[in-house]
Amino acid sequence: MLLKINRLRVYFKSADGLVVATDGVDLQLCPGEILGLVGETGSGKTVLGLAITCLLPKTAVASGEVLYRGQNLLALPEDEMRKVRGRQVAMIFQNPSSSLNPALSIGEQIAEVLREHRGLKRKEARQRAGELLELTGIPAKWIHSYPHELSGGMRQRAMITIGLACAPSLFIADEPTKGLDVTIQAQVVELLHAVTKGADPQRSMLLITHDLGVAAALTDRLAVMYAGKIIEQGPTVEVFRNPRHPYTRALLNSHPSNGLMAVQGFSPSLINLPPGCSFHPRCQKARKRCTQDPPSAKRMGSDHEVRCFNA
Amino acid sequence: MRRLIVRRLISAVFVMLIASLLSFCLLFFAPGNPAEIVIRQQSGLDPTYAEIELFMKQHDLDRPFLVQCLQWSYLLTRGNLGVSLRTGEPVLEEFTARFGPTFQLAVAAIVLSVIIGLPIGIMAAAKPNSLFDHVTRIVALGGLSVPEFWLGLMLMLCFSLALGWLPCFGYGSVNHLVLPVVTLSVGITASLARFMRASMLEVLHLEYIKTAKAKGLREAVIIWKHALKNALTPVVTVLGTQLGHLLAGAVIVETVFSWPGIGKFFVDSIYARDYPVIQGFVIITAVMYVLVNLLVDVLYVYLDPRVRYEGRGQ
Amino acid sequence: MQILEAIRENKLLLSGSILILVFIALAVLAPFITLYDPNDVKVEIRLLPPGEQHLMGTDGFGRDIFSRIIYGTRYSLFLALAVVSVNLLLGLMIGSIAGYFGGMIDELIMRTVDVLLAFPNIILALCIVGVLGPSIPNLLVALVALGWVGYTRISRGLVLSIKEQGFIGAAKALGGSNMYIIVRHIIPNAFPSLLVLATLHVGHTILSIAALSFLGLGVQAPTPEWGAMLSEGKQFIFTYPHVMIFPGVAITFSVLSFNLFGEGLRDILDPRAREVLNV
Repeated sequence: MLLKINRLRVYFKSADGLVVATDGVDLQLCPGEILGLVGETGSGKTVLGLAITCLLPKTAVASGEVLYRGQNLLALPEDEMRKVRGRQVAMIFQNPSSSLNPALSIGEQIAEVLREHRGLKRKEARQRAGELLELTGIPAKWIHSYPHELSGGMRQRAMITIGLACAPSLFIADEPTKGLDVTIQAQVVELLHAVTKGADPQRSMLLITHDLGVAAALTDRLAVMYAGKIIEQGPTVEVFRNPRHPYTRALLNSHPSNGLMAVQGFSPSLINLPPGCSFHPRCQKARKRCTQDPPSAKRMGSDHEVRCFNA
Repeated sequence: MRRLIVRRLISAVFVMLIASLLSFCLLFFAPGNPAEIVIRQQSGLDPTYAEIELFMKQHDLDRPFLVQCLQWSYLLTRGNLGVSLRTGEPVLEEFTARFGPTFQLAVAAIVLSVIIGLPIGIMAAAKPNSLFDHVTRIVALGGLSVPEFWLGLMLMLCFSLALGWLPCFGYGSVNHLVLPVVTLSVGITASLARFMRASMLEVLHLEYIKTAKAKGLREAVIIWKHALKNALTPVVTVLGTQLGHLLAGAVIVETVFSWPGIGKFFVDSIYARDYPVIQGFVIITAVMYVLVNLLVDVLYVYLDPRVRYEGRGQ
Repeated sequence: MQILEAIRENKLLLSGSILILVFIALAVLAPFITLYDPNDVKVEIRLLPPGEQHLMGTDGFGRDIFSRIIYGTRYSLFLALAVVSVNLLLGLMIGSIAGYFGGMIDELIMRTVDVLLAFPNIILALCIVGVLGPSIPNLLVALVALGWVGYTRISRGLVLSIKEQGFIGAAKALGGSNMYIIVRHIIPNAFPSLLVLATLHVGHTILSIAALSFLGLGVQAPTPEWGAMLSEGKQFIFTYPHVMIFPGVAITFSVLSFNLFGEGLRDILDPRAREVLNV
């Protein structure tokens, strides 16, 4: 097991009360596997990614375990964790326009990771940065250009190059296709496939996205998040073919290819979560029990879990 | 880039126009007839009516306001700022002769302020609300509250009279430079530190800083390279606007320390009611403003790669 | 009540307000605090060091420095407040006009403001006083001549942003006149940010007045104004430094009190300064 998350809970203290961003999350990721994490905005997907890399804002409190190769990252001292980031676990964020440093050239932004983690000399790092850019489909001579000189798709390629510079075994991509044109999206998906499944050995990826199409195209397994909880997870094919949770079903129906049926109601405030199953106010099949007890994970097949009393 | 140059040029022309108008109007604000004042200045006697008449004719002072104004502007474009009533020398020459000492003072003060102020601001922003942050904030506020002329005198009292380390007046050696420069730097250092801190804090919240952290870079690299390179740009603009502070400070500091620069010359000319010099100083200030802004633009292009293509945003 | 609460929570604001209140009290109660007439010349007791009789000693004319400093509070404080209020009102008016009407008027005003902002305040003030001659009215003119531009720029920006908000449109739809809308809706909304600027500006103005007076171009001796006292005492700097030390301390603390207050005020009013949740 490459990554094993046990009972991860992250909350923020705010003036209005506790904001519970993730609550009792259990997840596993095998080497070479691509896990998709889907859900609406504000469901806690990004926080989960940040928790794995220990990049949560100072106001956040995290408990539980994030075991990477058996080592609990949450308990790691900051200086040790720094050596894990970028080298073993790399994360890239949505919106490459604001995630790339506008004042540094693309080449420098790649090379500095190599210098930091691989101890390369300035010149070697530059050289290697060019090679890496070529691999992700950017001409090596572009190492001198600045982010604003690149198109949106090129920026995302550059971001991916930065993330992969030190060949991490776990790659976390937060909404890598958000805000890109459809054709560019397809290229980025292809690239992501090439650098994970196409790499030797195969690389694990945690793909955070709200785009089910992207998730279907790339992932082996799928975890659906709602109000800070994983409400369904299983093999992607299985979840798509046979969704067991009403929310997953609604989410699938909301996809354009399935008729663009919006999920009824609004996502709940993370401060005042409804008692019982968080989804019950929006669930058409909600019963009395749903409003009282939170459902626990129920095994549906060999590798399919659902948190719903009705499943 | 070209847009930037054009905009700078237009603004420079506009600044010079308003400055010459201001400086021309100064004489019109003066109580009494300027001819009368000038003659009294030169001869020390109350002029007769005929003398005034003659003077006005000689100097075209009987022409309409607008004509005079245009004439004055025309002379300005040829670098003619008139003649000092006190010394009888051309005003421009009087200023250029005294420019060196002021330049020394200003450059030394800016360098000192940057060396001290920027790191303080950066370190305060790196650990906001830490003890260091609070202490430097209060000290900086104090630095902005001390009157320069008094600070200069107190430094003199302390380091020249009590300790005898440094000379208190005059110009010449590096030792002479220390006290005036320190006096002038206190306010600029304080405001630079404050701007640097604010700018840094703003940048540290941005997305690309999170990326830098995710890359596993050291905190020092994140702060001193990733954040600083972006946070410095607004500070450079502030540095440009500090020129006003610097010039105003120079006027006072030069007077206190008897530093033979244009500031002291200006104050002496005010005491002597040397109108052409006072007018000329307005023009000199404007010219310096334009030049410093040019320098700021050059720095901008160096610091922010985006400017090379788009031009500096407001 | 909300204001008191805010003052109690913010240490800068608290210390600033206490200091300002002390200075105002000193200014108002000057005759009851001091034992001597600030202008009472007694050559036989000139240049006494600080002691029991004269807390801060006496100056070159035998006047009690403590009394002069207490009375000096009146000049610094009230001159600075006068200058800042005139500037504030002027800037608010011109800025509101520019922002509200827009177009050519706006363009003309703002271009001029941009250029005037380039001029160091005190330099032009020196020029004006230099030409008009030193006196308190001329000092006020000189400090107002350029002082209004900062407020103009800010109030115009505020007016523009407020104009975008719905309720101005609502007031217009209800048939409010231009003047009514400016006075009733725009100015009250722009006020908090201007207040911060004005508070910091009071400190700055105290410094300017002191500097001009020190150069002999502002308030004239024998008026017990701090800058003028320093100007008079200059000659004794190396022989009787107490003449020079106390007025400078008074200036520093009065400026500091307004700077502390303004800084605290900005902390509260600037939403950016508040801790934001960035999830």
